[in-house]
Amino acid sequence: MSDLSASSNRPDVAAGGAFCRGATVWRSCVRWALLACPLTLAAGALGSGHGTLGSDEVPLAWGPREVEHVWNRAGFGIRSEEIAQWVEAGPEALVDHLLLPRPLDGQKIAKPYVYRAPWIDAVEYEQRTIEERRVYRNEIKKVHTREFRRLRVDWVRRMAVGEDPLRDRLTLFWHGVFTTSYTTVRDPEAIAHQHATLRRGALGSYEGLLRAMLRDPAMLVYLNGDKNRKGKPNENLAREVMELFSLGQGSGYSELDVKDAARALTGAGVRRDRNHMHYRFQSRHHDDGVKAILGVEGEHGPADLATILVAQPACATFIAKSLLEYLEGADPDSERVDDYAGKLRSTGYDIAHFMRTLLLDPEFYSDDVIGARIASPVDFVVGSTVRLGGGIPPIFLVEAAAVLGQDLFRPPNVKGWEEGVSWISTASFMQRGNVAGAMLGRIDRKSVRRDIASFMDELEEEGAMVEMSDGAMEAAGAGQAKRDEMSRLTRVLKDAKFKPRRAIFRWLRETSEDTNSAIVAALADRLLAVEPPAEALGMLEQRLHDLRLAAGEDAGGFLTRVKASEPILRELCHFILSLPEAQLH
Amino acid sequence: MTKRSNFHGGAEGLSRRSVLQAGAGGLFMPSLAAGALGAGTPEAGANAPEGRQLVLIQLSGGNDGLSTIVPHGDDGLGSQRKTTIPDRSKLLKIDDYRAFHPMLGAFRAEYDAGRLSIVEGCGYPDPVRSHFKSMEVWHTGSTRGRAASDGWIGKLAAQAWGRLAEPLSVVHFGGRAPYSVFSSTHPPVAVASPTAYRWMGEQDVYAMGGSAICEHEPSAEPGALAQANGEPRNAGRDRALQLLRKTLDDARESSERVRRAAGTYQTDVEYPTSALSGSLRDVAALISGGVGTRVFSVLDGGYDTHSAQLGRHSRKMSTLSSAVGAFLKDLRRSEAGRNTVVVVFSEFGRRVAENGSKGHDHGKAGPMLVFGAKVNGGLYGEHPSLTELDGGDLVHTTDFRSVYATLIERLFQADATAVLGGDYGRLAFL
Repeated sequence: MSDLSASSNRPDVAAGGAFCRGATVWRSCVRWALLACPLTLAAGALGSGHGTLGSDEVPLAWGPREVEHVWNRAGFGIRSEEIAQWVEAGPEALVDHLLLPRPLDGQKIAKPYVYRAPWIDAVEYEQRTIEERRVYRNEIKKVHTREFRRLRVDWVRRMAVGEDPLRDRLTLFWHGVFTTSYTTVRDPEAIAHQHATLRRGALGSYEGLLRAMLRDPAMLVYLNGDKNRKGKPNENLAREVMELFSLGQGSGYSELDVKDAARALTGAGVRRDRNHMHYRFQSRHHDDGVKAILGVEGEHGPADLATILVAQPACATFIAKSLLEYLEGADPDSERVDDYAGKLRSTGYDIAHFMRTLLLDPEFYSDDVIGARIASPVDFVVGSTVRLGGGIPPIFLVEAAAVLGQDLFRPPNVKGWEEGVSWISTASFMQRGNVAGAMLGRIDRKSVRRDIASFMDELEEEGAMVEMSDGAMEAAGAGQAKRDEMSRLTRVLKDAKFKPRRAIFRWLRETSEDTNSAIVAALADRLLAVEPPAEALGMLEQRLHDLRLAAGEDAGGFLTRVKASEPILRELCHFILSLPEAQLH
Repeated sequence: MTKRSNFHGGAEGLSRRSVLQAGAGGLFMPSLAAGALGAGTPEAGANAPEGRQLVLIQLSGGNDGLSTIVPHGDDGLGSQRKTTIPDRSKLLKIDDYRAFHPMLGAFRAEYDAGRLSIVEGCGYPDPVRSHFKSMEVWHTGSTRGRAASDGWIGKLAAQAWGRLAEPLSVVHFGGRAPYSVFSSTHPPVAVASPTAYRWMGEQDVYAMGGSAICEHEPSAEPGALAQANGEPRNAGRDRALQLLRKTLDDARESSERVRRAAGTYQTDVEYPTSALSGSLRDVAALISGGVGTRVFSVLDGGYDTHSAQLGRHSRKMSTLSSAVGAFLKDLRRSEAGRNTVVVVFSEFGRRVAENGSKGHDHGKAGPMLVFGAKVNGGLYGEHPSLTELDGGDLVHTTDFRSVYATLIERLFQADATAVLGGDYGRLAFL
């Protein structure tokens, strides 16, 4: 697996780099400079709830904090060196950049899926021996595993490189809305096809996505749409379409609406051939009787259902609320949801328009929103990679996010992932720190083995395992290694021939002084996606002081003695990425 | 109920606990003061009896109750189900009306030994068929769901153990914690793999990133400058940090004890190999290790059988029975284990009639199963009618919250009405 390097596609940063060169906490410094003459921006009609009514002009403070906020939420983070140029360019230029249509064909990272598995037709298959059939099935399984891995790796690589950040951010959002799972669908091609549809339409019209999903083979298999036939209705898809894809639970539709929606969807299924699953509508399985869905009577089919749903005010409200919640990480007030829902309806559910409005809405930059969203596992691993400057094998990012609870293309259920604080438990919190340690090269195969061995030794020395034989001890140790996710994750890094290459002292070259406060400020600024609170900087300064003292490195010229400073800095970085502050963005 | 008087902190459990505590506090965790190991302190035990614990096993997706406890004596079954009734000749009969699914051999044995209560027809008024909304109702004990309140276990912990609640009072095993254990004041303790439940670094340093961080005097850094200028920036960030710092505190306090309990656990009972079984073995380890956990939560998914139900559901029943069977056998080896109550529930049952794909769509009422050496085994509630239906669904006969209320009051001696926000009656299984 080749390494990736972040940000290959972003505009040159050299000009911006000079903006505040030499400053210790230059990000803040830039902000203060700009606050002296705040940029003012027409906030449009959506400035409601904030500021005085009737005034179109709401000043939008624009500085490094806001720039990083946009990249955190509308992309997957930004390297600290690249912030200044966007401060200079201003909000509209950044929003233009994010919304710039990029030819999808040119984004070669996601190569078209080519089915490479062997194929035997059904008649011939029957004539094979049992052994031959087994070999054949195993071969297919191997190809599927490989292709599924490629799909996930490509996507995460794309997020980290950031060639079309907002599109990937919204594709992830739509993946959580129009959920399917590889566990059920078991066909990488169908999953890849759905992913491509969501990606293509991520910034287009929601209505288009909804219509496409009602014809999507992976979706039809996942929610049993292919089993939904005239006289033998299966409500699964119809119910979830209304509850999770369009209207929202409790928005006023009834069980009878669900039943008739299921009837409208009868006949929509899939046809399989050697390489693909195709959408297929079979009239003979379609119930062409009259249905009444949300008060609209007619001989409805799947397309009519979509038409009826998008005409519901509840639909726009549901989509607006979901997007606001996802991107802001907070509960939006209902007045604001209504405003945005109105925008969706009046623009034919144009998502690009929605995003432009939101990213220029002062409320998006309020103190309750900036830095207050819990980073999802994907946000955490990809964002950390971006801030570290790349170099982490994407397969590790995929596997680490899965361990932390976000297994791409395998969400826990049809509702997708629950965002926010539910990402955090004591276990996932500690594991995030361990994942960061592995990314920094502080935790590897050997250190995991050492950790397990020393834990077993501790137990033994204390006599906690007196009844255990040596053999049982060994087995217990081996059993623990097997169940230890860090054992597996560090193995992924080893298999990818990962070497933590970047020397941390290089990040500090522009730090003129090697005082602890300057070093800590520079590292926190680089590694964290949010402004570090003063108490965290104070604590880290103390920690660095202790580390240097213990190593006899408290004299000046610390950064020039790379052999001594590097392990200390690396340990400090690991600690920073294990802190509560590192879980926010 | 005379059996209830058998509940008391067992000598065996206590002695094991004190040994482990001495180890944890004495040698390797110098900063873990006695207060942090609250299980043994007098305050923590003042309000709730020691050594009793509840294990909640959630069957996610909507378990088909009619294929779990099968009403084989009801004509309504055969007339509405063609392909999904388990092999009638292999049913494990309870009486002329009901039988266990053929794969539930271990459940049958528990029932025969008087250690299983079956509460039939559990549900709630005006039920919804959404997985998620219905699960919220079960998780909160409120028909308004999570908009209205914390999880019911979260509320129980706040009510019964209040500020004395230690991080390990409630533990979820497996990936993400269900909403039942959520509390607005306390992030859930979730353990994916107990022996690997740690941050790999210096523990005392780690602790500095938690609530202790507030002891650090803000120096003249930009954040402080902003505050000095009266700018309310970062209000949202600071709220989130408060919760995350509490999580770090809890993680650090619980990690050593959980690892120790799991790492030293030995049992003669052979557990089958399944994820559920592995989690239940970990639960047994923590109970035996006496880490002070009151409520354990475990999930088992895959019950959403919209198609080809017969085989799929049968495999689920087989896994469930063998895992729970081994777990109960293991629990019976110790006093602490015998003081454990295990509850199996699902967010709803499935439709009485089959759908067109040999499966069942979402339905309503279903049975809850309550296991334990100290429960009064038998049948509770009333089996719902298979003919008098509500839109094709069973009508519930027992409010599931009466089961919660019974557990809250008789297992934990807490105020059920305060926890659930209403009085739902009690059942006699405890």
